[in-house]
Amino acid sequence: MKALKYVFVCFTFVITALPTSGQELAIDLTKNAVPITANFIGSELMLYGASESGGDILVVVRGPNKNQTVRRKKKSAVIWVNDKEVTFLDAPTYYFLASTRPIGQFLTGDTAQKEQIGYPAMALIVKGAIDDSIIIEDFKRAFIRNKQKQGLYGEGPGLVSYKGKHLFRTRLKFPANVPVGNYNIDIYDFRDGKIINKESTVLPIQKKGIEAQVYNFAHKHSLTYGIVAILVAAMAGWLASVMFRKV
Amino acid sequence: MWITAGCGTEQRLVQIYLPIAEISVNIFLILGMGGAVGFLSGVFGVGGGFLMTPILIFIGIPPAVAVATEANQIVASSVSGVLAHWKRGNVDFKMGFALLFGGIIGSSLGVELFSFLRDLGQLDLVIKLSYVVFLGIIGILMLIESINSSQQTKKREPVKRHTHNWMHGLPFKMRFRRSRLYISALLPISIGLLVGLLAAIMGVGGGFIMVPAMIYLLGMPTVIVVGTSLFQIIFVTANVTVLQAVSTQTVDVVLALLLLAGGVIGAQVGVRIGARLQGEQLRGLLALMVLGVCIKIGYDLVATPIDLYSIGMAGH
Repeated sequence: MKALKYVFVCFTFVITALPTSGQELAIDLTKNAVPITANFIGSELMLYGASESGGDILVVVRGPNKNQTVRRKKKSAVIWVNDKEVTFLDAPTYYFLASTRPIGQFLTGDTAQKEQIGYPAMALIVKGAIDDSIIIEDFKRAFIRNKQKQGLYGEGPGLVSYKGKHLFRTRLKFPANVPVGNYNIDIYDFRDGKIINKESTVLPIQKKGIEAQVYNFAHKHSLTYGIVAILVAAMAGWLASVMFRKV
Repeated sequence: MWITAGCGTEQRLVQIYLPIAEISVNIFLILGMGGAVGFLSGVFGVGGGFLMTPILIFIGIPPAVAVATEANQIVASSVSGVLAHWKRGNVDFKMGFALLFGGIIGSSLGVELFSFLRDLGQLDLVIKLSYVVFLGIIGILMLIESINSSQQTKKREPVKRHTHNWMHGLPFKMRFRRSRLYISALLPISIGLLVGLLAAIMGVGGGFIMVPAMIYLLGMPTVIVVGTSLFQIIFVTANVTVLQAVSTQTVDVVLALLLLAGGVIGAQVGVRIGARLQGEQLRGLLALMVLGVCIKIGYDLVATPIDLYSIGMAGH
């Protein structure tokens, strides 16, 4: 209820803040950061906004880019072994696309390509030389399919809904296995197949509190971390033997 | 994979996000696993790493994290175990150091190999294959032994010590007073080396290999075998923990702490109950469990994968 009220207040704010040029697009998020804490099980937030034109809205969320490798298994004797591999340079670790209608209905191929909207337009650049027997398209499809299975890639027409003529909203979901980093959120306002407005915002998803401390310790002072880990374990083992001897 | 359906508060209470494994797990599941494997190690006097690591992998912990974290947990259980043996004087330190010398070399090589295989994309395969081979061998041997002794068909011959064979022609002979042995130092060093290698790659202490090797190969008296092997395991797994922490950053202390909290309690209960249970039938049961895990891992390697393609992080 509280969240709804907040959304409502924000909506009102957005409406009153709209100038009268007829082209405005304004957006906001119900959270300005997603902290990964010890009890993190994924997160959901609302993106809402107002478009004066009331056109088609498209929301694209991209997670931090990373080199990611897709491997294909091959049967060798009786077992399945990783065989050929393709590494995609700086591919988004997270990708989510929401729109008011199926994008084919209001988006031209050229615009999709230019703005990298949708899987076909996603720039998956192959690292290094690969041998001729590899069909890149298969690896690209497999990459997207596996990402979808992990809940990290998704798209959905109809996920952006209008409330009235100008107010719209969509729900953004981040599963528990979400990669940390800065998420770029782009919101497009389409009219007659053309982008008439674009807004962008950044949503940081970071480990917080004890999660961040342990992670940073493990990565920045890994030798000390390793030594502390064995000391803690040795202490626990010693404590256990002392405690239970007296019982 | 873990896709959360909702964000209910009751779910939040039992879930914990592991900072290194980067997944959310149920606290009670992890404590329960620690307890169950600890219980088995208490009953049978086995380390339990060879059961815990595959179970961690089954519930979705990345294999690299499972192996490195389990090494850390074994440090705790071995310290707790060695103290009792030390008090009774059942540790041959000289032998322990010889085993350890090999163990440090083996485990250091093992961690190098581990990183190399990870970058190559073959780490999971090698871990799983090692498990199939070793669990298969151990499970079958244990099953045979339990069937034999429960049927009482065979009176076991006492192990003959000091039989002279090729091993006694090896150089660098050393006297191990506590074990009453005069053998080449190369023998315990090579046993230690092999076990260290396995410890690094499989996330086990390696007692299940070392103990039989010490009894049957070296001819050590049975009473000091367990204490001495635990002594070696402490330092080898400690070495693996530090090296993994430095080279792969896959040691998850939060996971290790949860596992050992469950494990410590389970082991104490296990020791008490184990003393009252019928040994041979239980041993048969453990053998079946070991074979069960072996078959499950083996089946996953042989069965046609649902998706031939998988995503991994690119090697650095």
